[in-house]
Amino acid sequence: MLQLLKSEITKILTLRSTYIVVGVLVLLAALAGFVISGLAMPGNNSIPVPPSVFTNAIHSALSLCIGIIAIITSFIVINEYRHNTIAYTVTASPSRMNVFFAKVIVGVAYGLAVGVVLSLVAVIAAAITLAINGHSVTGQEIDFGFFVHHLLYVIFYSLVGVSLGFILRNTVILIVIIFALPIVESLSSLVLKENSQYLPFTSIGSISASGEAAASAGVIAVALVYILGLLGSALYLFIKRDA
Amino acid sequence: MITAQNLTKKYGNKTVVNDISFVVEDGKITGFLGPNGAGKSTTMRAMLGLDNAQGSTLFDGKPLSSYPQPSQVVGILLDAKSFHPKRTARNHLKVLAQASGIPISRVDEVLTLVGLQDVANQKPGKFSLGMAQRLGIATAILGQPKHLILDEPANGLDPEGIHWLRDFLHQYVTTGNSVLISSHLLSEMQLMAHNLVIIGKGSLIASQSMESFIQSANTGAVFVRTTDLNALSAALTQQNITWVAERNGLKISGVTSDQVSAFLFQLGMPVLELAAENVSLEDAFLKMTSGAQEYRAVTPTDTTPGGQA
Repeated sequence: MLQLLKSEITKILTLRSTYIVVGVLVLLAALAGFVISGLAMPGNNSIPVPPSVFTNAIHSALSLCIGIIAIITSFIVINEYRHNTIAYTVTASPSRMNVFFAKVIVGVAYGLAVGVVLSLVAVIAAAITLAINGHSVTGQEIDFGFFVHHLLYVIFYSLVGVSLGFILRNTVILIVIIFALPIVESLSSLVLKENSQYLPFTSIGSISASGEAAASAGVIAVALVYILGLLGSALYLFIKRDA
Repeated sequence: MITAQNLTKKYGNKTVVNDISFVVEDGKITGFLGPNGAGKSTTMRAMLGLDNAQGSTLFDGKPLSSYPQPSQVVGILLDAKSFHPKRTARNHLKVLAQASGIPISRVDEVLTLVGLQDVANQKPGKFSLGMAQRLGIATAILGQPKHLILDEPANGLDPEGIHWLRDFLHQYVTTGNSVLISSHLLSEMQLMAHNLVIIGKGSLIASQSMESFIQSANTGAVFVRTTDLNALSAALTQQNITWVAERNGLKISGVTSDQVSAFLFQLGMPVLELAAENVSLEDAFLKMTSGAQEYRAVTPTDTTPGGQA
């Protein structure tokens, strides 16, 4: 298993596109940090900035980039089918289950690593903006609950990406689902009203919400069921289908 | 030894591999032949467990999944272009070595062995088919496996490359390894393989040694040219020996060249030319697989206006 994990990590690190995509995400996160802190700044420097600038910057950066994080984690699987290397990967291990879990673990770790980097970039961008404009950054707060929820948000989306990669094996369809389905779900809330919070992407997205929009334990449990269902389907199909 | 037993693969209602069993012997190169669409690649994938199929394949008596490092038991080349085009050749092999627990130092060894050491740090997306095949072969032998399963490895190789591949595989099996190789280059296969497995329309047609396969297609005809063909043909007819006129001689069936030589001596005729019909693998293959082609081109005589059907 350790060998497969090392191999999967090397696969990610030996492609230039990894650095290009992460670079683009870093720019987006920095932009989110600049914009959020800029909007939060009062016109008068004697009035302190609200303590939620950093958390808002992280939330905005991750919300902006989460779809792309799911897509890059899906590449761990989809690239294998696209370039026909899956035969080598599958025959490297006596068990397809090992290959599956190696990809899931590395996919989540990759998504988390990118998520943490983007969060840091967003905070640094926000801090720079505040400092340039003469505001103190010492009053900023990031509470533990917010941190855990956002980690969970990134983990869930990474799992969505890897699972859909196994199920779809196709980048175009995956991109359509990742970006179009949340919009469809938003529109369906006009009909479903409060029940729309139990839809797949809405329930996963609400994990990162705070304040009144914060997800209840029930909604998080529903999101977890969706994720486990998706993972189970992906595992079943990976084992049963031709490689 | 690789033992494929009752392999069957269906796509919906269509059976593409139908109850195929054969053995790939140790110390031998086994050629895997069949017309396009016969099911060769699917059979190979089924043997490796890549396609879910009925039946089983044992590698030295055990299924591949029972080995902790399968790629050190069997090396595969199923598609020459099986690599990420933007990952360098060295890194391509490195990730596979890591996944299989093979020392990374082996990567440069195999790159040197296949002659790709100078392009090790290049991205294989722009490799020619021949270079891609060499990288594929490097991938197959990375884990120094006992068995090799190679699907069309000679495609795109230049003459030097084909020569190298032939020598390499012959050397590979001298230590008791086994090789199953498919190819459409029949003349090359004739030089390379010791045994043959031939399938058509998903079913096994033959599984035997190269020599016996070619011999089975031999009609026993002898071509002879002498000074008086009329006298010879009359004498043959009198002896109930079948013959046909061919070029400026006779093609005599059911006899050996020794018998024809003795016959001419009795008749007092000089031998201007005497040759036993030499059946090639291609002749034998075409004869054996006629009617087993999934896809067949229209022959020119069928389409030429005014030509005979």
